[in-house]
Amino acid sequence: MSRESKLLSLVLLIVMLCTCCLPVHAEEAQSAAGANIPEGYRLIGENDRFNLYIQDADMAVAIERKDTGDVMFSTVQGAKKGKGQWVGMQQSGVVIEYLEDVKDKPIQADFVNNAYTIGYTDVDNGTTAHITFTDLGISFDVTVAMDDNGMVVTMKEASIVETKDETFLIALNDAGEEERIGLTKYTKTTEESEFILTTVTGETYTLNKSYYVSDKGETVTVKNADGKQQMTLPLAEGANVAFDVPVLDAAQKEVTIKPETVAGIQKNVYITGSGSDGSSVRILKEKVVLISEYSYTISAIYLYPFMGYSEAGVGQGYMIIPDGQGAIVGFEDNEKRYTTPYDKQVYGLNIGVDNLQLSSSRVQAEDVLAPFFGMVHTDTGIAVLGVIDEGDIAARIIAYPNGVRNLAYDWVTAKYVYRFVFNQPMGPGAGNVATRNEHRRNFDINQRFLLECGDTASYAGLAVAYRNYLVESGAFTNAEIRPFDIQVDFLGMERENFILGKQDVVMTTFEQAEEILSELKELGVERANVVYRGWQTNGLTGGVPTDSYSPAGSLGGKSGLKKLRELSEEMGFAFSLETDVLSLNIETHPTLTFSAFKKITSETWSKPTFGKVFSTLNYLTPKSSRDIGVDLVDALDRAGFTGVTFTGITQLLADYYHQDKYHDTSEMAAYYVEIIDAANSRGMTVNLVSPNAYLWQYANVISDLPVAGSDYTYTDAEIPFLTIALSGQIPYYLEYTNFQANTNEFFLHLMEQGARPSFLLTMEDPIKLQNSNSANIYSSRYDLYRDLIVEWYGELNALYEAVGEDGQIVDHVRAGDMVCVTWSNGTKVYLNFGDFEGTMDGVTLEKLSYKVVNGNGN
Amino acid sequence: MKKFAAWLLILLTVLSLGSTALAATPFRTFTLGNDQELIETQTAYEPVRTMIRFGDETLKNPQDMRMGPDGYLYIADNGNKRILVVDTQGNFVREIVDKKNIKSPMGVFVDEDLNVYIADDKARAVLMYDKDGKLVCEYTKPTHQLFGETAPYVPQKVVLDKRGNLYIVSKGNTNGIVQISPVDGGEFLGYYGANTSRISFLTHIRRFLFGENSDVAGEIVPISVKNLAIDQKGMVYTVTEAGDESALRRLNVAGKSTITPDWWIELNSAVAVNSSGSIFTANANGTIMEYTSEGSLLFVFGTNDELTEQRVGMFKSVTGLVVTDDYTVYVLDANLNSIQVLRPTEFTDLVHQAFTLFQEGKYAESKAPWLEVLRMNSMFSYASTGLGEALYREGNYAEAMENFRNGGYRQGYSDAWWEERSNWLHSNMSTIIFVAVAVIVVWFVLGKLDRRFGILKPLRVVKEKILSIKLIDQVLYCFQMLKNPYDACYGIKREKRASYLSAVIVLFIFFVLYVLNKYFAGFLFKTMPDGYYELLSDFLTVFGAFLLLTICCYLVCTITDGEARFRDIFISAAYALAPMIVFQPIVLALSNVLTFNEEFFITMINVVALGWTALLIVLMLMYQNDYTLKKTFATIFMTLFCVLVVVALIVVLYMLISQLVDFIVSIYGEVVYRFVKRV
Repeated sequence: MSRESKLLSLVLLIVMLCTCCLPVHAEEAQSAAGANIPEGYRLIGENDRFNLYIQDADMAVAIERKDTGDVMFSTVQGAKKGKGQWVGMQQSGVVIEYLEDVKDKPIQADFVNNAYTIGYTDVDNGTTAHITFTDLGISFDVTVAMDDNGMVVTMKEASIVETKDETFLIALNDAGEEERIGLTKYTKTTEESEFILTTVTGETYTLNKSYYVSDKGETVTVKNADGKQQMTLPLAEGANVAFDVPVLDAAQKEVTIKPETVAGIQKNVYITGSGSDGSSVRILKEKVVLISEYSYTISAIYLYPFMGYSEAGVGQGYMIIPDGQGAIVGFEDNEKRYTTPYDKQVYGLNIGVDNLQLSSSRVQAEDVLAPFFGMVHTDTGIAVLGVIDEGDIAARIIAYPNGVRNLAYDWVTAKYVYRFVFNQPMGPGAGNVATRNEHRRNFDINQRFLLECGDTASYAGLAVAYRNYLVESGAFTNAEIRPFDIQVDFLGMERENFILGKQDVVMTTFEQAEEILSELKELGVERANVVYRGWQTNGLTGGVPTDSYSPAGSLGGKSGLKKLRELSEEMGFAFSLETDVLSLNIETHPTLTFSAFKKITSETWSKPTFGKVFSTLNYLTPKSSRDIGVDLVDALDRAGFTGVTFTGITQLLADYYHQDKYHDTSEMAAYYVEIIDAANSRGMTVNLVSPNAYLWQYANVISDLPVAGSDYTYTDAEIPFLTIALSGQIPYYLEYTNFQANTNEFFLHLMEQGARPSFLLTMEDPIKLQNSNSANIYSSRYDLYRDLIVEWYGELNALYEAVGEDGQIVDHVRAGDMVCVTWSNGTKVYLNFGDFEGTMDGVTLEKLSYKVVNGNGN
Repeated sequence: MKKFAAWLLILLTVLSLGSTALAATPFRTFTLGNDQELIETQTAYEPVRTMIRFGDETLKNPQDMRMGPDGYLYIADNGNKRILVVDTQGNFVREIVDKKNIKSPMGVFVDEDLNVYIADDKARAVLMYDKDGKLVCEYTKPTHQLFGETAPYVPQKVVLDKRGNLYIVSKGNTNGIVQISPVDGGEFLGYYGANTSRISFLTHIRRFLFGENSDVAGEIVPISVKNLAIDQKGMVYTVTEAGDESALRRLNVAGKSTITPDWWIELNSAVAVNSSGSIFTANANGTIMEYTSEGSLLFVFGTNDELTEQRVGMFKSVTGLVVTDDYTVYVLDANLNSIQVLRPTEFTDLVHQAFTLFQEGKYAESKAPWLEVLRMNSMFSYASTGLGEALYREGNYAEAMENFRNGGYRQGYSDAWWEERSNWLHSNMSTIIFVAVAVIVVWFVLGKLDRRFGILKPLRVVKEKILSIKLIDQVLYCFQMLKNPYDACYGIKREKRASYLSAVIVLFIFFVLYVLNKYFAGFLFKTMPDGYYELLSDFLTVFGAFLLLTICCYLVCTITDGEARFRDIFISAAYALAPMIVFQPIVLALSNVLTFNEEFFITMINVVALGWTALLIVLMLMYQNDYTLKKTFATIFMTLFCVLVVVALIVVLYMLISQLVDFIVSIYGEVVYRFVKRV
């Protein structure tokens, strides 16, 4: 080869290398990055899969897949311009609701319908927006940033400034127009009626609040400190009536304030304050002079309500709502057939504020156990899961399937409520008055948007992402990994009326429980999580709260219980007593009458039991629950118990009134955590019954998880979202098998979810309970359940052996009635929920049957 | 029998803390418990889907729905003035549109030849279309004399029997269902199955006072049929909006009802029946009931979407109901413009399977499914009864009794007890005779020994000592009332043979026996449901009523020249309860051993005891006051009137005081609200 040829080859090689490798990729990536991002957005953060852009004008964000360039927006693109509540909601990154003076209905404020300013300070991989709704005098900071898992939006409660605390002056400029001249701090002096105003330019004014001006008709009335009318001046067009009222400035020097009027417009009554430096400012009276009676306060906030929205009939995919274990709502055009959105308080109804609307024939809709919601776009392969890290105790999850309220979009969001309107009863038969709470709930917001793309952009992918997030955030720090077992709950006793007073209805004595456990062990049930309910004096309904360690004598007393506990432990069964330190039966615990939970209206809360023996039950105040609960844990510890099951406190979160003060949900949560933590600190195994997600980190095991949702018309399918997220991390038991109408189908759900079954057992026939408060337990006789327990134990244990002790569900696919669940070791479980034979991945199944295929295809 | 007024109350009693119902269905399911009250049970029917769109078609205010022999659903789509035909999956099949004639389709029916009959209330006709949608015939207002010139003809619903006769529900026509033969374009055959009007006691009084034609008397019209269905045998089923047993009827050829439902609610709007004879009714608010072919309530389910939650299985205005032979239920809702589909759960399938065997008389075969039903729900009374029947036929009477008792089936319990008792007597007869003979011998020997050696003397001394205690003597004096009432009254009045304290003790003994009889009578004769104790109210009833009666009686006596002092009346009245004190323990004992076959004994003893007591009271009043018989009865009536006045006075006082209390509480509430610190 000639030298020229060699040189040519070298050049060609270099050119090829250059063209093949770096430049092309760089260009493609460049062309993909931002290609679908509209003008006005700027890049503020990224991770290895997504870019995050923000539009400064309205805080809208766009999330772009790095590999394909597909984008997901937080505000509606190409929507009709205009104003209005819904346009504002669609076009604003942040939307608030506020309360105005005495009006008791929250009003929406957004970046379309209200005056506002936004300033930005960039932070690491994100930005902090300083938002002020200028016409409301409400301001706060919101930080948007990107991390490895997705986008994080935070807002500190401390950053909220309201007119009530800090105000501003609206003055007339030289052209006679209203002008905000800057935030002014107003501080009360030691004199009750004095205020010192400080403008942003440093000028200070002292206003004597008691001298304020009000106008009625065509007069201006000046009142003195006692509210006594000082003088009334006529107003006339063009008149410029001025008079003096004594006001002291910071230097205690008297200044002059002059009210002025502008033709016939009541709003434009001003006070002119003269500062110590001689400057003057004219202040709109509504904003300052009547400051203590007229203010805007924040009621609620939405952070990116339209994140990942879908337009009816355009996008493909579905929403995820936290109903039951999780449910999906498809994006297809509903043609306005639905009228109301999904709107649920996180962690259940706030009984301190809202009324429990019981109906004899209706089953209450499922509570939100964990604060998550999501949007999955199957067309662009982007999925987002909203997870509330902080602020969950004051949040609602709201989902609008398209068509609801005539909106053409599917969207789901969280609403954080700082203040709410409630009904204050005026007395029996005297009706209610709508009232709002003055107190602002104290919580910060940390809302995460976990992002998935490609193959994992599905509910299963998001559930796995949620699990990873939960692991990272320490939700399972206490979780115990135990081999497969079943939960066996015994019902000890109830009470029923007798000729004089009440008598025990003994359902299972401690000795009988021993017999049952021994027999189950002999029949091959190797492991069980044994929980004893209704073990205490006065039984299940009569013995609440469980305020002391006093096993019922009719069940066998302390010695009987000790023997049972020891036997259980010998057999390798986890054993615990169910304790309810929330419910209060005043009839059996009259000394706790004054410890009853009160709503924020200061009414004592109670609920009907509809039972034949005890007609109502109350709840304890959180403080009493804590005191009783901690003592009880201590007593159980001393008695040698290594486990405890908490119910009641695990399912409630509410605002309340105690000792003449309003307390918010965060205070209740703190008390309940203290109780459970007391058990944790003593090394006891803690079983939480149907716990709200904020308590998961304190649980060793979780029981009574719902198997189904509320069956809303708009949901397309129920998904085992929660159990996928929990699998392999913490043992979870589903609700009782006893009361299932479709036993076979229920068993398939256990198989599908890798969940452990639970049974409520009694030695006696439950017909004995028909005159007690537990008349709704219509099926529990052990000898009728024995064979089923043994059979299910065998089959489910085999599944657990196949998937491994720390097996996790990694995928869940549904096709019609067929479902395929993939576990981390490659084992697949195929299930047919249908009434006919079905096939999936070449696996054919009879109706209502399942098949486990291990990683090797066997 | 349960009335609608009790419906909510009863439902409330069965709800309990921490309900066990799955949330998958938004409604609870109930069945009748052993004391004829509703109890919660497993979900019987679960909603599976909601059909809103049928291809490109939707419904608008649909009013009726039937299933044709072709398996399609025919819907009277009132708002769209058509009959919409869809399949059970919700796919559009065809529609019958006739702008000229179909004006307001309210009811629809399909015959074997797929001819469609439309009850059109604005067209005032029943229109018949053939399967190609061609108008064949129009049945307009009959001109027959018997129809009545002024009788309204506004067709609402229609069904057809095998002979082709039409049964038409006409709005506002209270004469009954209009029956028309297809001959000659419609011959009026007469009215059929009219409901009878029910007149309340108050209406009777009003009519008596103000005359039958008075406005105040109120109009008395029989309630009209709201909807109807027909089964394969030609039996017509009707529902009404009334809250009485006419809520559901099954009419025979003569138009008489052959079933009486054991439970009902108001506002029934639809009825359906399948080939197994199971009857389903729905009320407009969304409560669906399944009855057996005998009219026994099996399940109550479904609920109203009062909070607009939009959950599958909640209804707003049910207008049509179809039930297939496999028990799939289709519910048409005029407000939601949808058809919701519900299907039976595994539990319900089991119940139906057992019921079918049971109704066919295959008691032994039904045992296994009944046992499985009981495993799933120990309180399911039909299962207990069914199992009881099976066990009864097996000769296992003791277990049969237990199951009959659990099922609340008294006749079965009585029969089983009869058998069990006979068996017991049979096998223990020799022992019984031996014991009886032994007792007689011992008695005889003891008597002889006592006479010779006085061995029972110490017992007699003790007895005399006890009897010599004055109070005991006074109490026992009440039995003198049985022997010689006049003597007893004399003793009370003149000889101080009794005191207030002894009278109170006698009254208390009566009270104790009353309570024992009320709560511990045998299952067959007990009037109180198990588990209910109202001792305070019993106490107030017995002592309050006694006190009120004696005081009123005394007051009346004082103004009718009676000689009796209050003491005399009080003590004598208490002592007049002696027959009750004697007989009640006998009744109590018998109620625990007798069956319904010997019920007569108990009735007879009760009648004797009551009659005797009443007689003693009359005699006591006569003697103590020195009245004539006539005057005694006059005094009794006046006493009762006096009691009535006092009770009315107490009620008025109570109402006034409670209003005052309410007023004060309201003011307190207002004050608290004004001054309480806002949260």
